[in-house]
Amino acid sequence: MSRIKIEAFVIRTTRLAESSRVVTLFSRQAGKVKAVAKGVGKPKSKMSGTVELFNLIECLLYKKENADLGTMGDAAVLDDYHHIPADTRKFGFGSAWCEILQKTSHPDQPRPETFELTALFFKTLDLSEPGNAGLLFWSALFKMLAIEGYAPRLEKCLSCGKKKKDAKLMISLGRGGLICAGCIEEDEDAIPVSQSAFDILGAMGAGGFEDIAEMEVSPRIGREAAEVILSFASYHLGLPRNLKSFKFLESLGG
Amino acid sequence: MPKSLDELIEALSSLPGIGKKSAARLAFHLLKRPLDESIEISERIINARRNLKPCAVCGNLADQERCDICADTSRDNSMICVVEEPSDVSAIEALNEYRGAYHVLGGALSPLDGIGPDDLNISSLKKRIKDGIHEIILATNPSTEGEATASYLYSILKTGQIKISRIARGIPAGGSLEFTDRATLAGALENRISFDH
Repeated sequence: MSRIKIEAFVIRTTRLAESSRVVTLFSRQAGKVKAVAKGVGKPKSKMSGTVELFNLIECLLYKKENADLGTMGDAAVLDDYHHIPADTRKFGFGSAWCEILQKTSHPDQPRPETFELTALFFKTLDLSEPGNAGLLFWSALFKMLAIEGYAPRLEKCLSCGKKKKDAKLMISLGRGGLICAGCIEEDEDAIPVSQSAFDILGAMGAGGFEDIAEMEVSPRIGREAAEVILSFASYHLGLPRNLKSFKFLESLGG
Repeated sequence: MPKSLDELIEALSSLPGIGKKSAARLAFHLLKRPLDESIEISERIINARRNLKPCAVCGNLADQERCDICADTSRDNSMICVVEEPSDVSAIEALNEYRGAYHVLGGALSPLDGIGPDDLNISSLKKRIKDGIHEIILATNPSTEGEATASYLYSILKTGQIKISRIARGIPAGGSLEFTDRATLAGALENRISFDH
């Protein structure tokens, strides 16, 4: 039985019996971890209130060798992001981020840069205006792609090397970025994008969350940029396009 | 082990909180008791499953079209307490403190489980608030999902004419400040009450 102290985000909880929970954590030290939080649903539990979605916690993880499920102990909240559930769209996008972490992370494979990105994303989402939640989310996913080495490359045509100056802009999934009009016939995986969406993608790649939170983007252009980022995440990270959280956000309309 | 005993243990262990060992203990207990007792238990389970349905007004469990609470004319129907599950109604009723009406949502918003506003009993709540309601108490659980649900309900129900309140969050009786989580402690301090209230 090993015992390690971990720092982790709570990215999923499911009930186990009456008062216990199976908690999925995205940890700095051990990547994705699943552990039982025994008795955490009891009001007088020392861990009561700690294993809530989005919370950044510190806890002890007890685990047998080769076991899928560990046991949590001595959990304490390091940071909570209580404004996220106070707005339904923020809640939906925050949950979508948790779902992405679940789908793209694995046990014993730490992702320290993505851990830091998650901390920054939750903090900015928590304090941002509700209307910017989507833009911040897609920007965070763009940054995750960059960490993994799959961010769309937008500076020049990846085929001929010329700087972009076409009215018709295409972004190739397979080749990983901009393809000019002259080279596009050779590519079947290319997505057309407007100049405005292209500029937004560039800003997402270059800017910090605070700059992005200040941007004003029309819903149509935002959706166009989101489609490029989701297509890249799906193509390169194997992220399913039909996340439950996306269905939730669609049900809110707007 | 006889097949029928094996099947009984299997069936009992499918209940929440009942593992194989507890299921076996329950099965042997039932076998020791008179046959009539087992028949009565099984008939009660079947009756409950056949007769109970959501109350047409509030969504609580009911034998009739309306539950006992909605049918009780002595209750204050100008106040609605919104809860997630019928078991929450039972918990509040056990206090004998609240005499208003209820509304049962059937869960809480949970994007990770694909549960959105259309999957909860919300449209009938919106219809109910037109009829002389003066207060809605949002009594969803103090979890992330429960808080999100309460915030969503506030955003769609606020009219300016109806008082919308949220149940208080605080330190449990017999609990300890030392082990209270940050959110609860902060909420308890923020919503503190005067000593001579």
